[in-house]
Amino acid sequence: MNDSVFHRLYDQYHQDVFQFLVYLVKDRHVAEDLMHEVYVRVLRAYDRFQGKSSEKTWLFSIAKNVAIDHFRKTAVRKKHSMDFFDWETQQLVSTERIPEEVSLLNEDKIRLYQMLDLCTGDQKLVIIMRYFQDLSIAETAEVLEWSEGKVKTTQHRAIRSLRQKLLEAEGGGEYAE
Amino acid sequence: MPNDKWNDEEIENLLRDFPKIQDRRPKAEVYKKLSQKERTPKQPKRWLPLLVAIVAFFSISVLVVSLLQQNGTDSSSSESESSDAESTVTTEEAQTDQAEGATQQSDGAASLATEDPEVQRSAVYESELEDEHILRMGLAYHGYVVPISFVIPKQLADTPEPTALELYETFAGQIDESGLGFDEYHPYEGELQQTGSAISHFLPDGHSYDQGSASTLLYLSSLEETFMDQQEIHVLNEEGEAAQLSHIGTVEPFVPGEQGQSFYLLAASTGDWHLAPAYGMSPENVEDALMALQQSPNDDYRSPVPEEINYRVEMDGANATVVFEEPLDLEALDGVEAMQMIESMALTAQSYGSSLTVSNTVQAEWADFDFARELELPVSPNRLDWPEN
Repeated sequence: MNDSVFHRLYDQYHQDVFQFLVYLVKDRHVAEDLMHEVYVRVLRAYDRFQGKSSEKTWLFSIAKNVAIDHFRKTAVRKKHSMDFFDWETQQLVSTERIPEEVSLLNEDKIRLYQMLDLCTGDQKLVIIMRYFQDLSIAETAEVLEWSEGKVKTTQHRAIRSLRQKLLEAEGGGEYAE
Repeated sequence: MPNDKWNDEEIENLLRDFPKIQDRRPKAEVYKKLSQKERTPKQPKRWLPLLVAIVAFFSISVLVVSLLQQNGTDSSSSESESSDAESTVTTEEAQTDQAEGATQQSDGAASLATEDPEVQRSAVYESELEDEHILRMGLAYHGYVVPISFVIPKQLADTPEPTALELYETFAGQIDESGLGFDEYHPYEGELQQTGSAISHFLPDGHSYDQGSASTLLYLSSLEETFMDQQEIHVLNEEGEAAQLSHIGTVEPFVPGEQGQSFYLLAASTGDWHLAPAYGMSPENVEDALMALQQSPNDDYRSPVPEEINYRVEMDGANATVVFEEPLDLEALDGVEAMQMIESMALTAQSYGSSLTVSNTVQAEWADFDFARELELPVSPNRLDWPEN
């Protein structure tokens, strides 16, 4: 293992990438596992990193892949079948619980966060990257290997979808408590 | 609460105001976990890779001598071949790889490589078995499972017709997994029991298969690959009840191989590439699975189909036909790559319970494959012959 690379990457990006994983999978312990896997993959591929993207977006891109693999595998094992997992359209839902930090927020934010699970996987990724991680449109596009236009469109649709779901919930629909 | 408060701006403001979440573990802990092996290594048994390396050395030497005789090349090349053979060779695929490397180093030998009789199939085929048992094991590497098929001479087994479990219990502990490029993972912790055609795994308290979602999923995939020929697998606690694993809950009995898998290339730590099933990333049906082979499902798997090759898949009942868009000259390709492509298709078809025909190849027959008819499908991937004594 390249120690100096690990220490530098940790100092610069660890907390950001960890937060990204927690918001995505909602479970601190799972995020710790996935963070480990991110380092394994990053350190294995570090010599081949060509600098075509920034180091930061490369790390987020690998974290995103690790998380999607996790969702795929979990979905598969929960169903005891090996269905194809289409992360672009399927929801990225991990567990019923929410991170401790979110559970301390006010009711509106908790509901908003829960509604993210009802969005498609790509919408959830864009919301987390753009709002929680504060990544720019260009950075998000680089992580997801999309055009900037697609990021903007997906973000717009995600906000619209969240609004609609929140209104349905407020109106006594199926998500109302 | 009035509904008009949920406008886009309000939602965006709320989203921007979510808290920072910190990893509370010290940096040293993260580093320690990364630097240590997942499992405590067992006493290594070095003889198997060593013996295979010796076999590889001799097969490479024979090939090199043969090539040198045909090409009149001077003897200095053979020295470099010897040093190649010193590295541990683990599978027939790797042997072929090295043998090809050897031919390319000899002046004028490269053209011979295309007609290389040493381009061998890497999987296990029924027609090539004589008096041998197959011990298929799901070996582990970096969270992925790779099925390796140990072909064991029958005289080495304790009984004439050993069960899958008897084979596993006799031989699994002798395998030097790290020498082969994998994590030390076998034998499994706890007790295994065979009842008819079902395997039960009794997990001991404090077992290591529940340390995280990745370790659980690896465990279940490994178990499935190792007991692929069984009708059912039960994962139980010490009391014999269905085990509870923290990331998936109660583990219900499952049927190994019930769902087909696409086979992609995956590298072990030795750098050898093996054909491995993409658990959780394989499509529902064989047609989509064969088409999907043209693109790797993630950063770790590699597509077995060279970029310049395109094909379509035609279904006729349970038979899938891969039709190459351009006539495919297999001898113009790197022999190992061509074999990986054809065998990944064959293993994928076999996994989905489908037969396979390959159409529009320049060669009617190639490396023991007869393209005029349905291909003989492998019974198990990644063959590795067990030494006879």
